[in-house]
Amino acid sequence: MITPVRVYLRVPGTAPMSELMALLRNVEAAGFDGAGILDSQMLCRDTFVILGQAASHTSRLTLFPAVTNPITRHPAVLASAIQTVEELAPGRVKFVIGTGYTSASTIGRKPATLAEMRSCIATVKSLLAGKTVDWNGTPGRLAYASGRPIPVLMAASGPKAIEVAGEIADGVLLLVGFNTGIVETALEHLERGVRRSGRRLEDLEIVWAVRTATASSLEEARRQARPTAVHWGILRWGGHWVEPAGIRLPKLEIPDAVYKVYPDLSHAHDWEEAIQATSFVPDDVVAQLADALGLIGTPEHCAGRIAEMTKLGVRNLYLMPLQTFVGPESEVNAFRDDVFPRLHAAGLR
Amino acid sequence: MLAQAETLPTVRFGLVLLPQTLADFGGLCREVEDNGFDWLGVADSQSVFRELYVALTVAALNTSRIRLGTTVTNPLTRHPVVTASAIASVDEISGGRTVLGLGSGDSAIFTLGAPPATLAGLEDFVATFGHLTSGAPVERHGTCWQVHRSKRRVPVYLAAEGPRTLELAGRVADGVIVGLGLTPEIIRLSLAAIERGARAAGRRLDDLDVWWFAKANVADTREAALAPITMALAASANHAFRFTLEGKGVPPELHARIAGLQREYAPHAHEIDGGGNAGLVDRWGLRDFLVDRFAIAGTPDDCVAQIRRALGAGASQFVITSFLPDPRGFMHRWMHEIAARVNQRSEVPT
Repeated sequence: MITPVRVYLRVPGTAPMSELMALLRNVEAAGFDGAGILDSQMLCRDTFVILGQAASHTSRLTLFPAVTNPITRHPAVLASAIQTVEELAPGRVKFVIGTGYTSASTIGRKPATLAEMRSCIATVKSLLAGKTVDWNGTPGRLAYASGRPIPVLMAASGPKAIEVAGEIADGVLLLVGFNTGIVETALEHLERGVRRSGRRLEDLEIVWAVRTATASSLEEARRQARPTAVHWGILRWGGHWVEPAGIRLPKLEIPDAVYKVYPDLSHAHDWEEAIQATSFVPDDVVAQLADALGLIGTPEHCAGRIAEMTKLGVRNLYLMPLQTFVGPESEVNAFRDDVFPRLHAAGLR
Repeated sequence: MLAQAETLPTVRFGLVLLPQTLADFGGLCREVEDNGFDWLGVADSQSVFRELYVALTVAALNTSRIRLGTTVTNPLTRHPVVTASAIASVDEISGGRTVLGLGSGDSAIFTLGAPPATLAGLEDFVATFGHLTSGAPVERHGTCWQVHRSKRRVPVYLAAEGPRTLELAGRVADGVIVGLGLTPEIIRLSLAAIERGARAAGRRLDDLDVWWFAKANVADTREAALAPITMALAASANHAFRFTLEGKGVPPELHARIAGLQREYAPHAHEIDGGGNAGLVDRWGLRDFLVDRFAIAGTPDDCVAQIRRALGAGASQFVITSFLPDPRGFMHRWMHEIAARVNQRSEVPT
């Protein structure tokens, strides 16, 4: 029996609330399994306010913050907020927490350490389970824990973080890239952590965060993906994962123009300018990087890549459209009209 | 006689809801508005109530005119940018109806074993929050904080229980929610403190929107009205006098009793029916004192008389809390039998 592939979509709270609600309804109608709402206090509307309103504007969609952090809200507030949203959307909520990369840096804080992640996740899980925790000697609990399970997922992109996630969380959101070498290596790390807690990989909900860009031609999709691909593979923002991706990179001189893109290549305000700045990277290199990074191509290409990755056990995808602060409307349509029907035909939906 | 009566301000009421469930919370919010309250406040105490901004979202979606506020949040459990972003999000949903009620932290903080905010912390938060909700940048820790989309400065109301916080409110806030009490002596003392602060900032008392916390209930007998709010009076005693009794108009012979109540107060049972804190009021012999000081409760006649007493001392806007099995019955009766009567000009004694 084939397990279907679940597909979640990232939704940034950058548009007015009414537009966001219309978008979330479209996401649901398009057949997505869930939506992750960005938690970035400066640039996005409050993630829990959006989730709270989305609860009454959707009926089937799984809803989660993507991703929240242990820094900007007290763990007791985090548990309270997700439990409250779950009360409005019973049984269709997850809690996804990471080290708070941008939500921390934008307020002058370092991301949470793995020790802080352990502590916060343990606390939130206990509170949601109705257990008592210790707050500086004061016993604390969440008076209205529903008892219904709310999966607690840890977002992780480094090997150590992945192992910790495997050890302590109900699941993991892996932001590592999306090719065979990467997936196999990430699963090895995850398994190491999973074993520490006496569990098996199958006990964990494993969600793959994949950069996504669909276009009518493979070439155009890859052109669109240039800033992200080059940032990831050439400027080595992908860090650890460029190696296991198995990409052979030529020696490239990085021109100054790349560093002038504001605020950086993959978050560029002017996307065309960012694409221009990557002209020093040959097309064949970008093609390799794009395939290692995520789902970049025509809908047919993307559906094919999903099918290919399911052979490695990939079952849950979290789509991250390339441009963080542009709405995901075009991907919604592409998946509804083209990718989902293809997955369905392949027995994967 | 008529001319003199007309100079009295309209008495306004706000109602604090404790989101102990979100089942039909929206319907309840709608009734608060329909009954004519001016302000719907939502309590913030993450361990015992549903999350503040999610509850406010539900309130915003179910009302159309009423002012919506946090009553009250604190500067500690969420980062200032998160608070500004969250209230701005609710402000957007509600069409610009939000206010931020802010205090140093009561049960939200004590249930976490954390110390409350200092006066300096409150002052800093008020300034930062004002910039952020205006959409203006704030330089901090080498970074620039900004809530880009926020276009309306959300007014800040400081919840204050002592002379120093009242002065701070007078100096920096848009409004005050006074939690020190409702007797004429306390009202005058509080207004004087707010005015000192206002003057220090080159403002006048009239520049501030002043509200008064009251624990309220109405019933056919005084006893029936008081029974369900006794735990709320225990909460008042615990909160209003927690740092000091200095300058708060408490008779010296009661100081030890209040300390006793505070020692035994259980923050996890904060304003929860049957939570055990109610028993402390009689155990420490504080019933008469606390009722006189913090409550507007009794028969409709009792309530009207208490409001007029406060009105005579200069208090005309009340944020009331009432934690009753039948909140709908309460709010209807309150607005129709009490608010309507105190605002009937011909009945106002001159």
